[in-house]
Amino acid sequence: MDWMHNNQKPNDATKPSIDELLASESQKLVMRTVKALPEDVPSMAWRGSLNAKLAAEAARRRSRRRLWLVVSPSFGLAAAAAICFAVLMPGHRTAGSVPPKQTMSAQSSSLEDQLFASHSDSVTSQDVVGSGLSTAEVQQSNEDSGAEDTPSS
Amino acid sequence: MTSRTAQLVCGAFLMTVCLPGTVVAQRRQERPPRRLGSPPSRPQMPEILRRVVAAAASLRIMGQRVVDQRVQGQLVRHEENVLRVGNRTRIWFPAGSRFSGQIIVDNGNSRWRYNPRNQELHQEPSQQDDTLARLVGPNHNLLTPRVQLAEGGIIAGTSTTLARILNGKGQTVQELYIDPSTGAVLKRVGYNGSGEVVANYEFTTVDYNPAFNAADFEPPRSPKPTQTPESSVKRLAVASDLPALVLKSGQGFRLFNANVNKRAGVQVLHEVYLGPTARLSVFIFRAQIDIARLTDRGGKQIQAYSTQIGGATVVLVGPYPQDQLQRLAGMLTSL
Repeated sequence: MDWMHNNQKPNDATKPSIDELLASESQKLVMRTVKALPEDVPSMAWRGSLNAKLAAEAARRRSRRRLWLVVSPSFGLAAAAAICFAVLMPGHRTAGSVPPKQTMSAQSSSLEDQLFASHSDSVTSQDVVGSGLSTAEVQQSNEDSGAEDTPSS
Repeated sequence: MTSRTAQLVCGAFLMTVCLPGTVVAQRRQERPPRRLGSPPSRPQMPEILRRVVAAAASLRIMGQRVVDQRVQGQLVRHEENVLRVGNRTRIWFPAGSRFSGQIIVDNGNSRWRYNPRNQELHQEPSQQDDTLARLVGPNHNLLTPRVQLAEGGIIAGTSTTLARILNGKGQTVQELYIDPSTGAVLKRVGYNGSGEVVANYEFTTVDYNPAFNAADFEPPRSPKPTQTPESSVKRLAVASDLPALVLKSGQGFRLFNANVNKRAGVQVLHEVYLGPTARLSVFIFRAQIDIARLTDRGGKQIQAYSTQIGGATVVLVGPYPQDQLQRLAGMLTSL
């Protein structure tokens, strides 16, 4: 506390100077005590192990970086491939195009188209069933008996 | 190797792997099954179809088959018992079927159908296998553009070969599942231009050596007068308030059958004729029609001709030239 007091009044001639204070016995005692403390120097073994750990970490980082260099372009290509697949896959229609069902519906709504469809369907159906019941006979039998059709699909 | 080089090498590798992958994915649905026979572009008839044609005249088969047909836009299923000996066929229906009691006999010249509910016996020209007739031309050359062969799987306990018949656009028109040892077609599927199934049958049981007698192929008997396609046209036309018009005989076309259906809200009488090379449809109705649209719709193969007779619109549709259709329209007479 004396030291503090002296610092607050450095120009006071009646008080001892800072050098005198440092040369005092108490200060010398402190200096000797500090000098007597053992020096804490890291051992070479500890330093070596630290260096080994740092080197291993650096190697891992390099390995990760190389892997990322290889993998990162594949993300872009995978995305491009996914977009290509989505755009080019069968049945895909862009937003502006008409879905096939709608196209068929629009076409089959006209009498002209339905006449063509009736012709080709009757030919195909008769080719398949041969001497069996024709479509018209199935329909007629259903109407005659009042039975309802049994849809198979 | 620098990082930039690694990126370029990796990118090029992935590009070569991924882009062909998209092409494969795109083509997967259209890829035909494993082909066993000749290339599709060759007009030579595959041996398996040759066998079907050769066996048709002598084939003996009896079995039950499931039949699906598109009626009013929906596939409707029923079962048939079939006895076929050469070009003669007898068909009857299982007990419990809504067609139970009906009998169909086709002796190669005429086809009869007897319905016990109204005791009506209908007679019409024999059903001929037009598909097989259209498949085979002179010197056994295929008339159809393409046929693809593949394994057809097991049908009625028998391994089959699938013959897929394609049109000029590469669309499947019919699929025939053939027993290669007998030439019998055990399953058959017909498609329309949109790829939808129009009709199909599949045998569930098959006996290749059935017992039969000549009476099986004699026409059924009915106490009522036999109905002909012409009488059916007359009855349907009167009921629909439409003129009963039919083609005069001697033109090479035989009236096969007729029915009345609503098409686009219009009551239409549809007559089907067996022609020298293909079937012809005659439609009769009371409504206006866009002739240009009708002509455009047909394309190269199917032609159409429209005229007015007796206050009704008559449209002829079939794979015949326009001038022939026009000439045939002039041959329509009232019953």
